[in-house]
Amino acid sequence: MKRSVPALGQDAAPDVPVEPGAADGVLDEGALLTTVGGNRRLATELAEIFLRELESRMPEMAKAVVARDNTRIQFLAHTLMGSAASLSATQVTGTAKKLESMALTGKLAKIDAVFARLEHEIARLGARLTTFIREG
Amino acid sequence: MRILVAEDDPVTRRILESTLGRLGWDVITAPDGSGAWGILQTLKGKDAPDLVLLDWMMPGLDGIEICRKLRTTPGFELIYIILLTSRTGKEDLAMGLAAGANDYITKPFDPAELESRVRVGQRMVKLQTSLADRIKELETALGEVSRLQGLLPICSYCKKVRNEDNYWEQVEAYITSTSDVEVTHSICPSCSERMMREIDGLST
Repeated sequence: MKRSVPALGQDAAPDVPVEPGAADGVLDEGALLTTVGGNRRLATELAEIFLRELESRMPEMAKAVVARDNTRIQFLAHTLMGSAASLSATQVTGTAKKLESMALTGKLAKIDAVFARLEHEIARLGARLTTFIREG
Repeated sequence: MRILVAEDDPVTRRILESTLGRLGWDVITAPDGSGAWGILQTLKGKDAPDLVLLDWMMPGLDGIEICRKLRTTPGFELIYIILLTSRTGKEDLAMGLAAGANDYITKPFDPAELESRVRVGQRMVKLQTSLADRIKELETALGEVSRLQGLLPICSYCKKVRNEDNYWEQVEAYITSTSDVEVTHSICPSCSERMMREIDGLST
């Protein structure tokens, strides 16, 4: 079943359909719970930390992408990749890794498109985490 | 065992803090390399962490720089260092170990692997501490032995001994000050015989 999910911190983003579950790569809740030894409260706390961090991290990254500031893009993408990987959010992890690699090698031709994809994936992840927190 | 975790990503830092704390270790956290170095400076000595988990890429001082600083700063040489990173290349591994890290964990880490590697570190720290204590004991013992070895200048006439400060002192005082021996006075058989002869000679 497909469902509409809200954008990050919002209640509506009807244009972003999402498949729930681990297979879609948005968020593997089972793997996240394994990482924290089954502690649901800690998993919820991590989701909250991640969402809080995004509020400053994404605008900062957008600014760095516009300015083509390779060092800053690399650093921010690297940190985002670490956070997302810890939460078992494979899509965001993969795209952040791609951004980091592009910044590292200086091949920025497609960076706007990759960053747009990251924003889209972040919106989906944000929605899933918000639901996860609510269900907590 | 006290563990310092230096990790700029708050999600990973919280996971590390919780996982290691749940296993009974005393965990301190720092949000970046400079913060970690500040904590290490403050806790120098008895309260210093036994093991540090350092993220490779951090703002300010990165994990590699902290490794190098720890290995060249007196008092920190024995700290067990584990580097945390998403770099997986052989060159990266070699670079991390060359900087002074003892071990290496790639992110995202498996909690069971983290525990195992920290336990290996704990065993190493225990072993190093007991070896350091043993060496200290041996050095003390050797120091005592060396005081009783070597040439001992003794006066041929009065039998006083020249000590390390170049003063002549009674042999009893010297022995008492350089060993655990207590001196008691007595007369040996040949001296006793000689003295008796002298007393007899005086009375005749």
